Amino acid sequence: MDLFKTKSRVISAYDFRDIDLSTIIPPFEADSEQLESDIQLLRKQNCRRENVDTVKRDDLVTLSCSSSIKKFNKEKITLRTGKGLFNKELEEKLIGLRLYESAAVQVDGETVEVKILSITRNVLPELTDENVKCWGIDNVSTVEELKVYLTSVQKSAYIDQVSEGMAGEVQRLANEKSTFELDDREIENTKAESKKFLWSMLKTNGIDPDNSTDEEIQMATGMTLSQHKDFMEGMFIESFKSDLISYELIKKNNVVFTNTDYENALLEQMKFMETDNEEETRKTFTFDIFIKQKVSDYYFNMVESYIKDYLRKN
Amino acid sequence: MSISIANDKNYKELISEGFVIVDFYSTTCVPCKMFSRILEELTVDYPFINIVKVNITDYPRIGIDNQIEAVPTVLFINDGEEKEKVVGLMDEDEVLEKISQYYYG
Repeated sequence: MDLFKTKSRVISAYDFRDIDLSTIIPPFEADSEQLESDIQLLRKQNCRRENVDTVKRDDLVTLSCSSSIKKFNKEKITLRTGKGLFNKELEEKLIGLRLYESAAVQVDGETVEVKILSITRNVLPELTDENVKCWGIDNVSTVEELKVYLTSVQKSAYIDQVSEGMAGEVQRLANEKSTFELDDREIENTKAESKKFLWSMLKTNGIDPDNSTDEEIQMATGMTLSQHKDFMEGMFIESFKSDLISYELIKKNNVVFTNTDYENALLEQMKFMETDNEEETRKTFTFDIFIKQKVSDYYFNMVESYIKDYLRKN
Repeated sequence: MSISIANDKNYKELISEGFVIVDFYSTTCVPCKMFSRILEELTVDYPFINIVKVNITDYPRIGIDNQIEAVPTVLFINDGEEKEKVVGLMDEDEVLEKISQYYYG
């Protein structure tokens, strides 16, 4: 039984694996600044907190203060000196005070009585093999291993981001080299769907496309309405073509979506929507919608995982 | 103090006392990852600030209850009361400004 009912069909599908990914996807390059920043963060996270007896800039200080100004009447407040989040002037005047010392400082022309209750200083660990080993990162016991590990984390993030972002582009290129017999009515329906989607997107962003001028839309979005329409129609038609290829692949690979799959997906949908109204969910999440999603995901996931493999190897 | 991970059961308790920054995020959102990094850095310098992270994919109910329509969204809460909601990525200075305003204000 044909689950994905279309009159349009693929005449010849270009194999996306024949696209030279090196021409469209830049290779991964480690970001040395990011690496330095990651190492710095790890050092900060693993710093030693030392109790000291004299306040310096950047110390974590707990104090009590009293004054006629409400803000400076606190039994206990903690701040990092010199950051100015509480009061720049007061924080500057704490520098040099000793533990348990009381002082009257002038802030905004008012006297504030302060007493230092604790002073803690962060002492950054040196970047040594011995220290790195104590940071509890799996299979990392030297500085060199740490750099390799952090670079691999960068690479994984790059692969995830690029493969998801480029899968659609690879599909589009494969569509360009494939041939289709497209049914006029189905293409018109696809365009109508794209318009519906565009209208709803613009309305979500506070723009009513039916009652706005082209100038207003361009001012708000950087594109005219007809540019938006062309872009969205193009995207929907490409997606429709990709779905046609996807369905061919599904048939070729004997992939079957059963009613049980639908029932499970329905339960997931109900869980996501946090509803126990099965009847209502069936109306919005129909079997046809389920199949469309599955068809669309099948090819996309295949391309995405192919790009991931390519990036891991290169 | 540190970063706490919220779920349906502990969320209310986590935000009930003191000053709390709540970070609504999803695992696939790139700006959320950038913001998460900013919070990690802040935790080191300001260990006395409570941060609560809510994964709205895992806990959509908390997102719905707080009218979260996009991620990242950040709530600044004092003793359970929402002081401000910021939609979109904030930089470190913007978060520090909010700490200054609501924690020390």
